[in-house]
Amino acid sequence: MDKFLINFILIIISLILFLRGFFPVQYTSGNDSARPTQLNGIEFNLEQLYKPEVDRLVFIIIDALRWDFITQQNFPNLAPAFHQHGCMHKVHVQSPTVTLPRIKALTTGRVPQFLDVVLNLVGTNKLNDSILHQAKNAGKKIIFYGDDTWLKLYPDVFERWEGVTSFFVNDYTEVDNNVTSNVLNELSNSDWDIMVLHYLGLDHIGHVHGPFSPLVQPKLQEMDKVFKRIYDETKVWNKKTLVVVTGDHGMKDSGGHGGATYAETYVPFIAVGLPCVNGSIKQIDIPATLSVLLGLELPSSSIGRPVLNMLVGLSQDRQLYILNYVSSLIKSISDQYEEILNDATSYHYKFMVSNSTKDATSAQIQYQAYINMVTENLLHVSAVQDDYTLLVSILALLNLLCVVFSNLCFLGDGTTTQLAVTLILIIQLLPTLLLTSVLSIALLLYFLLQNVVKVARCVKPNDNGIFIICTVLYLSSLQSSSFIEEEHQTWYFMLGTCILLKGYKLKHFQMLPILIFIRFIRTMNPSGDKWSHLPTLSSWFVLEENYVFYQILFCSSLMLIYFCCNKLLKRHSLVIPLILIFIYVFHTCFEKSPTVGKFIWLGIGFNFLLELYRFKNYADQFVVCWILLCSLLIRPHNLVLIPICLFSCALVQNYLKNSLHITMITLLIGKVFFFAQGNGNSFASVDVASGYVGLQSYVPSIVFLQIVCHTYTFPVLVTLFTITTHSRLVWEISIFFRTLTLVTTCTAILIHRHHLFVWSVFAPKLLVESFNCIELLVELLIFKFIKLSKCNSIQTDVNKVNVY
Amino acid sequence: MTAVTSDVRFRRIITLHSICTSIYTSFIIFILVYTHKIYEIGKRSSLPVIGVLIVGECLKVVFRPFTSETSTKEKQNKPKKFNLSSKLKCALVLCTSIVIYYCLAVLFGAPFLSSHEETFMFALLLTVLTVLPSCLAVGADVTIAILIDLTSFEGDIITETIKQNICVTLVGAWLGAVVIPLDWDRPWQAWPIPCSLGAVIAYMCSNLFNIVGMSSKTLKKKTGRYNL
Repeated sequence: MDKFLINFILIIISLILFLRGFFPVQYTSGNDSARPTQLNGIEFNLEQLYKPEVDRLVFIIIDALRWDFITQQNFPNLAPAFHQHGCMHKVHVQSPTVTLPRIKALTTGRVPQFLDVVLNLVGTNKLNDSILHQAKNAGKKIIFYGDDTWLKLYPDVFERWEGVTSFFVNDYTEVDNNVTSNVLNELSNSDWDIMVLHYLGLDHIGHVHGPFSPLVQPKLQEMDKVFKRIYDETKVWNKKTLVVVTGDHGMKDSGGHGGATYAETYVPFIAVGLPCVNGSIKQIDIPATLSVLLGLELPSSSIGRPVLNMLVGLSQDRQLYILNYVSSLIKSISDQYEEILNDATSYHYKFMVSNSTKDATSAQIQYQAYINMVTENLLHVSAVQDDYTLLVSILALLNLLCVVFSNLCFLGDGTTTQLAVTLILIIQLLPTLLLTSVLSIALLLYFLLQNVVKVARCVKPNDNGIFIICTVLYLSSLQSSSFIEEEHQTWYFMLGTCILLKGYKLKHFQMLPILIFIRFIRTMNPSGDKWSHLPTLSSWFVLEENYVFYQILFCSSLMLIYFCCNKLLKRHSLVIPLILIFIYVFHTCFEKSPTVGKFIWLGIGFNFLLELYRFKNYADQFVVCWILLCSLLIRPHNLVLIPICLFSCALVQNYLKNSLHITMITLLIGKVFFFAQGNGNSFASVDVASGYVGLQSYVPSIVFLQIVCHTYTFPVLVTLFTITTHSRLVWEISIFFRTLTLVTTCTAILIHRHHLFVWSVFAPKLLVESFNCIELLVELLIFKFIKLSKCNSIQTDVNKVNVY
Repeated sequence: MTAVTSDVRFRRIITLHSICTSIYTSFIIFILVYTHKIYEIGKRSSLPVIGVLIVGECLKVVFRPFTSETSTKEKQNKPKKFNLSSKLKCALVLCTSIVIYYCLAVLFGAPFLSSHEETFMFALLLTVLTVLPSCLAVGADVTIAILIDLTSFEGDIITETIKQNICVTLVGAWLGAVVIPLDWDRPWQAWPIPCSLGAVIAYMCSNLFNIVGMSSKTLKKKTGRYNL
């Protein structure tokens, strides 16, 4: 027990090593953003060539504004305004489509690090190179109202500001009213030059109700009214004002965001108040374009292009100068394609000497080609990984996997391997030399060979054929990006096959209901990408006209849960039905009021203590408490999954004899329900709204804990359910399969690290697997702790008896 | 002695049948691909293909050469074949199998509220490839016995071959589903084309395997491999 805990901790350490090697931490930043003053000896007339086009900028960011939200109906004022006095661009957003990295992209013009998606929840540190800094340096006054993430990123840039918290998703009116009231005050002030607004309400509606909710249209119309107020005011001012409306990222049909699907990665960019032409751009182009329009210096590490469609009002020499400026900036970041740049500058020089339009056009084309090519390249090769570290950690993982496997087959404990791996990991975590890396790879290979030989020698043919086939198929499916996106399909298919074959072979046709359950639950929630547009049962239940069915489903699932709890405890409890009734009331009558939520939490805690006090059948009481906890967090229409899951597990335990098979299939069931609940390999699938039960404001630790509990409802439930009978097997098999998947994912991501989808599919998958492993570690530690305390209390009991 | 000779005869029959089957199934696949009718394999318009398969199976029963050596078993079997009740039983088994295959397809993820035609055609195809040959060759009763106990049913060499064909065909259909979730967006990824094709190809492969196995004559317990 202790040994495989240590082993698993070693696995986690190797994983951390891999993650550290894979996700780049440092960025190559540009050095100098000074404007070029001369070309081949000819001086530029800077005052003429680079001057502001607009005096004032109102930058409105509407969180999660999808591309298809811009309609005449939703924006009755904005839509005609940009048709007459502006333009709309279709913006492509890089994944991960989460707010923090998107704000970074919008202000710095570079692709943020992938790990920002994690930092989005944890916290932020400030930036010091962005369009806002350039504006401040140029003496512009900036005011900001909206999402307080901006204030964390840019604490000393704004003249006046007020932040609203971005994480409390249940509030979608107050959060925007705060911003709007500030805006109305500011419109009469004339001292500011740039106003940044970040509206969060739409994103919150998306997280809780999805993009097709009836709440969306009024919200968009509210945004439109804000725009109208600002736009009407700009006509009065005696300044050239540009009003920009854009979204930081889109929204999936299921309401979340974070992945790389079409709905998440395309947002509108609307500019009003400037002659311009419609087009399509990348999000990182926005800061460069705005800097040029404001006559500011570009952010020094920006790799975005200035959008010429926005600069149609400028004369040709000014456009050429801007292109030259951007090219010189990009050249300081990357030294590729220099010959094209040389070509462009020579045409530019010719134009400056001769003033012929033909040369100007050629120069313009060459400049654009250069910028496009380099930017494209920088987008894809934004990470430099340390191959040796990756290789060492994969080999270490493989070694540890062998140890787990030999433990599983009672082959001995593999202490030497563990020791060697520990040593190598410690060495690798320190700053390393090439020589030590090569040495450790060699050593690990040697141990691996030894272990493989040892394991291979004692593998006997057995009747686990179907499991082996399924495992092999699953592991090979991890090499393909589409199978990773549709992983839930693999699990449904495999569980179906296993149940059918086992039931058929043992003639236990009573297990067939599980097949029907699987078929039913796979229609519950949208998952994956390919079929996510199809209607699902959950969206049907949420519809207004199906409220009766929704209530029936909700009540009957609560009743089923009560029945399950009674079965598990083998007696009737009074507290459980009370809690369940309160959960019902919480969802239907009180519209998830925080007070009731807290009260239910207290009830669950009370119940837990009560059960602990009774101290009869440990694991089952934990199951009951976990069920109650999850019933509170889970969405009402998903509640029915809990009794179905328990019933399936019970069926499997009743009708199968081989304990290995029971554990495998119950763990499979846990995985299947994990996906059936709506989770997947994309950050968009995490249900953020579940974290706010019983909360009035954003408390990071509690929100995080609740989200984790909600996400891992079923894997934990299944483990707890099986642990009474198959304690050792459950842990060993879960660790074995988690490690196996982890190793395969790591290998896949190493092979595909130059793949087109590496950041949109493989990297999220790796993070999801890492989270799975860490979750398992936490589970294991808690289990150990409880077991220890149980032993202790039994011992104290024994002591007491002895004393008496 | 007679058992040995009948065994040899069965082997010859199986070899001959397998050769015929693999020829006409490969021919069907070839024609389907060549005429681009492959995308219609789940539609009503592909009924002729199934018709050809049925005719092929029937011909196999009618055409049983090498009778001159021993015909003791043949005589015992003959009166049974023209029995009306046994024919009805066969029809019943076939219909049930269509229903069961349909249900299984839905349980494994085929659309429930739409694509009835496609799922039905798939169930029909599987029935024709698995249950029909068995019904025609050994009768309804033995077929039921085989189907209920695919993994451990023991019988003569013909039953063994049928059993193997059924297993391989079903595995083929199962494996065919693997390509459906890929995001290539090709027309042949639509349900049930990969599964149907998988079944037909697996059936062909099983027959080819039979030819090799029978001709090498060392086939003893090969079918035991498919004990999944």
